[in-house]
Amino acid sequence: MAQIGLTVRIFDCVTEIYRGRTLLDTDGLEHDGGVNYRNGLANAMTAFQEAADHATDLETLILAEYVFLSQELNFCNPNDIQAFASLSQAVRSFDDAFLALRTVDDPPVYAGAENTHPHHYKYRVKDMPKDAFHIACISHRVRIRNILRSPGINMAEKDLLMLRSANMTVAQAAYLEKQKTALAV
Amino acid sequence: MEHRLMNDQEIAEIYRESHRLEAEGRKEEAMAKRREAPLPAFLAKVMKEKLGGQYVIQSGWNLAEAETKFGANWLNR
Repeated sequence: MAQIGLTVRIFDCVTEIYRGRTLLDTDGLEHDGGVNYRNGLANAMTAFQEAADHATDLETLILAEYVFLSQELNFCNPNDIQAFASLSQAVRSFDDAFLALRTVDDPPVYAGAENTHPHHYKYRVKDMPKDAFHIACISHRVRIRNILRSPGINMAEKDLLMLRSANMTVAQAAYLEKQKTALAV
Repeated sequence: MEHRLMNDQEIAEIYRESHRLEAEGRKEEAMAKRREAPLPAFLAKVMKEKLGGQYVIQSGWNLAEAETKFGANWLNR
């Protein structure tokens, strides 16, 4: 049997986390919910680590984060205005990151886009344009740092959050190389 | 694979069986078992938007929740 792709495993573990959270609120199935949630988290740790180990596949790396954010947004109460806005913004930010990732693989197009970015250091990352990909990663690391400060997070959740944050740094480093290639630096 | 909606009890049973398979070291069978439960509609939508409709079909997931929410022809839109 062919090895199951990382992408399938990402959707699998996030689905299990989702089912776990749902069953935790279902009379008589709370135990199943807890088992699914913990199993999903454990599989997510493996999947996110593997995504980082294969950082040249940036699309899968940020897809992992995007799928996780989508799950968090799905569970967020729209009446929790601050959290809902933050998660919605994160999802939109990664939508932009996907577009940037496609553009950077087209050097003539990316060279044109580069001209629209100010060369002031505020708008640069290691002298490369601070474009939508970098902005998504930077914003998300800040968001995760804020979540880590909240009370009530268990160790498994904390470990996964730290890995997700570290993956943003890995993603940015890999993306910088793509930018340098696109701009022939 | 049959795409049908399931209640929480059925979904819980599928996951219990998948964990039994994982405990026996049969990881790929365990994952295949979990794909018998419907993929949540919002995740199916993400899969379609980011990976394409063909990927969704070939993923082997039960798409009943997505079909119920978005309509039978949702992958072609």
